[in-house]
Amino acid sequence: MTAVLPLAGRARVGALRGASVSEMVVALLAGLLVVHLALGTLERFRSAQVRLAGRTDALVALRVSRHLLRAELRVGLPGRDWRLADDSLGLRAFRGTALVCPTRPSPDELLVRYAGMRAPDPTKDSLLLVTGRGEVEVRALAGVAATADPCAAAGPGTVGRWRLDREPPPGVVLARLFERGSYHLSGSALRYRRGLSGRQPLTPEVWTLPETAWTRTYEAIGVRLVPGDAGAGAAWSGFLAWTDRP
Amino acid sequence: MDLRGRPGQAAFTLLEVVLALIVLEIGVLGIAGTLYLASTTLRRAETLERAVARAEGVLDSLGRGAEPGAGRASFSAGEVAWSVGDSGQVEVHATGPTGALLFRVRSILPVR
Repeated sequence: MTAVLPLAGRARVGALRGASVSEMVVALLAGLLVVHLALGTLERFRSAQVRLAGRTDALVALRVSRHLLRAELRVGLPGRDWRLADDSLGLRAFRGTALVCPTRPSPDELLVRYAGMRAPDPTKDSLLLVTGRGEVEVRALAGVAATADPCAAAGPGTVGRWRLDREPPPGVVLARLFERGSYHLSGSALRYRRGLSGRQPLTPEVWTLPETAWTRTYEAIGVRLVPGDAGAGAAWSGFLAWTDRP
Repeated sequence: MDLRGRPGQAAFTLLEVVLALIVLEIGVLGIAGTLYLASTTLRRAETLERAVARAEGVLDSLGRGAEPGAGRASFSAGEVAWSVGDSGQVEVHATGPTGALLFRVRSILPVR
């Protein structure tokens, strides 16, 4: 009768051959080296990706801040439409223009053809009314309604009925729509406060405070933007607007 | 532990191990190359953004000056140079840190 040994048993039958201690040490060291190199490479990739993402955020924030602030200040008059306080830039931001139609729906209403950056909002907007003689008066916008009434004033835009807080001056031909708000460099971002609402971030939160700040010279204002972890070389100082319009 | 193996036991050959390492290396190099390309592109975008900002500042200043003339100004990653023609035509060009042209803009100064 022939006995059949299990596989494990058969393996033990022959001379047991294992690795020597030195071979095991070399194998372990080689394994550790490979793992170390792999982990190091992964860590470098991860930190490189984080740095790239940070630089991208800083670039986006710089681009948005620069374009936005310059566009807002360009169409306003310093001192009248915008003013730089300690930490904020308060402004009456231009949002659109309305041609006033000759017909008047009611004493405190205007029929207008409006074209602008956004739809008018009675809770936050005010109007600068310009008469045919060049006089200007300010009114608050109390209500807005769409209408199908015809408007003789030709031009782009949509026709609507705007109710004012009080009667407009006679001979008004043009209404400029403004939004009251303020820009702030706070919480590591450029923020905008529209009306009396909260400060909403417009950029990623990348700026270092208080190094990031408004700058003021004799005839111009600017801003110095310093990204948090991008190094001093990534700081940007730039011109925004003249404070004494020639 | 038997690291040397025995006859008839399946194992990787040295050639297979080397091929696997080469494939792994190609993957690692691909990722590194992508990161390098992204970094280079971003650096160029940063330089361009700064040059545009500087050029805008120059054009704003020229539009205000009583008698604008030619000049040059440096920024953190290069230089901006400009020239003004008799009829108010202005040309601004920006160069990067290596002296390569980033952009050239022609405009007309506002009538004062």
